[in-house]
Amino acid sequence: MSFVPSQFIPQLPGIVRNFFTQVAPCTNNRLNFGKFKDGVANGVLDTEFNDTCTYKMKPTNGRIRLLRQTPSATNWVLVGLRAT
Amino acid sequence: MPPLSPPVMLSLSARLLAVTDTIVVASICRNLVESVELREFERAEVIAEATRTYIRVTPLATAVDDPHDAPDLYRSLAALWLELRFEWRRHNMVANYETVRTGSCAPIVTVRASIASYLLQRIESLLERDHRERLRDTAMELLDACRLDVERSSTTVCA
Repeated sequence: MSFVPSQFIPQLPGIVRNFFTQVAPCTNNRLNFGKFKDGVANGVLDTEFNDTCTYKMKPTNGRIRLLRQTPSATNWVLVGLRAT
Repeated sequence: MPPLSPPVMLSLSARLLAVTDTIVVASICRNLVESVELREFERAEVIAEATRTYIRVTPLATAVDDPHDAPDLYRSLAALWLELRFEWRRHNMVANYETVRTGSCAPIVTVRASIASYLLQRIESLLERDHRERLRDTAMELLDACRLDVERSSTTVCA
């Protein structure tokens, strides 16, 4: 399982990349990014669903969890492999 | 030791011929197709689709091979990159929504998406990164803006 904090990922000092549009554009839709934005806006985010990754890779089944940790006010995208 | 010769800069058309090399592309597409369980006719169909896509690109390289015409070729490749990007996006969206709706997705959809993104990756090696990102963002903004404009004008007409 990979842990991706927040919508933006720091790469080099001063450079950030948008997870949904630049790192994993296959998640740039209402199912993923839409739920994430809604959760961040409402301050409540804990949802999990199956996903299929196809961007510059062979078809890969994944499981995604979108999570907000209230004490630290951080938002997370957890990506794991899913058995077929 | 022989003197070092300056690096040879290949023209854009020569680089295009290299990235659409039939043997390399066909081999990788076959590997992608074999990574999922497909029926024989589906496998043949997906390979044929991928072959058609990159075979159609080759005439661009031979017809527009004068270095003076490279800007025209570059523009065509940028348009092709956008086409492939939207094609990948369409297949990927079907895969994502089907997976959420039913728990799984037909392998032929996911492999079509993977192949489109592979061809996209080959073509994008010929384009500048900043240009690609700008193109991608502008195309998406254009789609959203057009839709909003149409919705606004429809509302005005109906009101």
